[in-house]
Amino acid sequence: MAGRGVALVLLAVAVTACDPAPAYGPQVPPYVGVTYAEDSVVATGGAQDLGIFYSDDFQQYQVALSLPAGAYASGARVTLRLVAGLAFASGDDVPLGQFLGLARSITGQGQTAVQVLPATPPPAAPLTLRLLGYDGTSYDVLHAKECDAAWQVVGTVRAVPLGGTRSSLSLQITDPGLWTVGQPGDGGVPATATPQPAASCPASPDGGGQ
Amino acid sequence: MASRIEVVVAAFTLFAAATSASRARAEPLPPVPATAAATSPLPLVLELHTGWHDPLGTAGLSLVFDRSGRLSGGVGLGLERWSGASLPALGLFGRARLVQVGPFWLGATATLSRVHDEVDRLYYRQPRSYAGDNLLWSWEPGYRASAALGIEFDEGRWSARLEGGVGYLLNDPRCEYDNNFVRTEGCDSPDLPAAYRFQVQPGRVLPSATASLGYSFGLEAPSRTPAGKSPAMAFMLSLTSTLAPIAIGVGMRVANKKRSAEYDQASLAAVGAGIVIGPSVGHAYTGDYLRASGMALARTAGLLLFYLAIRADGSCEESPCKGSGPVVLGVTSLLAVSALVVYDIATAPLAARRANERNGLGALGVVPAITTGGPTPSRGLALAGRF
Repeated sequence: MAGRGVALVLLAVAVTACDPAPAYGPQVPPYVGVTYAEDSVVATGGAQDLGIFYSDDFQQYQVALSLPAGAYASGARVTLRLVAGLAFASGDDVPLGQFLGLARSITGQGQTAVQVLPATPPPAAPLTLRLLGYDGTSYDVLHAKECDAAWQVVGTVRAVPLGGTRSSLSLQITDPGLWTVGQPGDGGVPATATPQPAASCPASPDGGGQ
Repeated sequence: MASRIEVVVAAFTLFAAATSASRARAEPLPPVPATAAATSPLPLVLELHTGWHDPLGTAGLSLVFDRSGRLSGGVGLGLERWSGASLPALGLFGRARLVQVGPFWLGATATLSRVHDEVDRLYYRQPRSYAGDNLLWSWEPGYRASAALGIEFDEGRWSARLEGGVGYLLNDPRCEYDNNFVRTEGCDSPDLPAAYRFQVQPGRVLPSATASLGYSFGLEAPSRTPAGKSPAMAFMLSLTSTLAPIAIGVGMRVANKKRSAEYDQASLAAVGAGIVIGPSVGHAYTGDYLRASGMALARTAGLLLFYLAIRADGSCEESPCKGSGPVVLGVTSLLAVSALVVYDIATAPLAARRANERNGLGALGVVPAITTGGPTPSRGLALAGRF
């Protein structure tokens, strides 16, 4: 009997070990577009960093978010996402992708942006969003809430050359939500915005939502 | 009645009626001592095997050093290569015959093999706002330890084995991750989401099933089959060999919630093996090899017709179908295969009786006997037969 029991336990272990289920982190709404990469930390009250690193066949990219001490209450979960599939504007320009090489990887996936959560409360101190990418010298900084109707141009930022064609963008952000950059004057900033609110947003009179 | 001379082939005296009744059931004959095989100058068996997650791949050859004792061992070679530049799978194994049940041995096998393997998975994280994550784990090569339990049937120079077990890849795999945007290699890469850094990666533990056919060189191995064929054993062999693979296949299909094509193919193969081979096993046990293989071929042909009918019927969805030919063919072939399965299982006991008659054991019976060899005559029972 003992041998049979051991055999059954071994069989159960073998079957469950064949296909372990991934243990994902907690879900943090709202979700917009398609999330391609994500990082999150539980705030400790001190300075912390989140980062998304990726590379294509040729180059390496990075999106990093620095939390200064006291930006969030201890215990709050702060999430950084790289999202695509946004359709805040007609046309096919990909503001963030122009800098981060996303256009090569996910062509046709709509606009890309960085999403910072939690949606509330806003950080007590400005966060630093740093993008390591290639090309370009000056960009408009665009911001939107997940349920907003349009991007808002909130400023401009100059790329800092890092050698070769590599450069860096550094943004100070004071609000959560969606952030992206676009080159001014080349259509990067949509003249007319078409809102694509998240499922958790109140339904618009014309029935928007995704 | 000269042609029906009654001969007492074995007599055993039982001195008490109660004990005679309890011992009257025919017991299997003891195995023939393995003296012939023990003196064989070349106790080697060549095996061809195939299976699902077999330690040597989909198909392989093994050379087994087997003196027909409790222990044997050998080396194996896979028949497929991972790539043109890679070695085929290589293995070293040992076997133990543990328990004899009728003409079968139940045993265990331990194998160490060098293989190539890879497993891919596509995960969709909830909510579906996340991009799908493609993961690939590959072992190039992988060093695998496997353990299996099996059942073996020997008949003369030929032997057959069915094994089921579990394998474990001892070394760490290479990891690749791609979500159509982030692409990375390396299980320790910071780009690889933490959710996919498994302690035991998918595919590292491998359930396996293997069927093998062996041919013994040198002297013929002693037959482990009792001279008399049991009708009940023939029936049970056909029935269980049919139902067990079908149950395993259906179970795999039900458990395959991720709709893995590999699991679907394996479950279909198991059901097919149960239908084609299972009913013939009882007939093979009785020595009716020609009939067993012929009926298996007939069922294969029936399943093939059924498959063709399904294909023809499926094509009707794209263009107007002319007549109900495919439906008739499908139903007819399915009924024919079902009838052949039932017929073979039902006639397995008759085959055993025919085999016993062929071997002169058809008229075995227990008869009263008096022995006078001792100081006083003893009354008892004797096993007698006509031939």
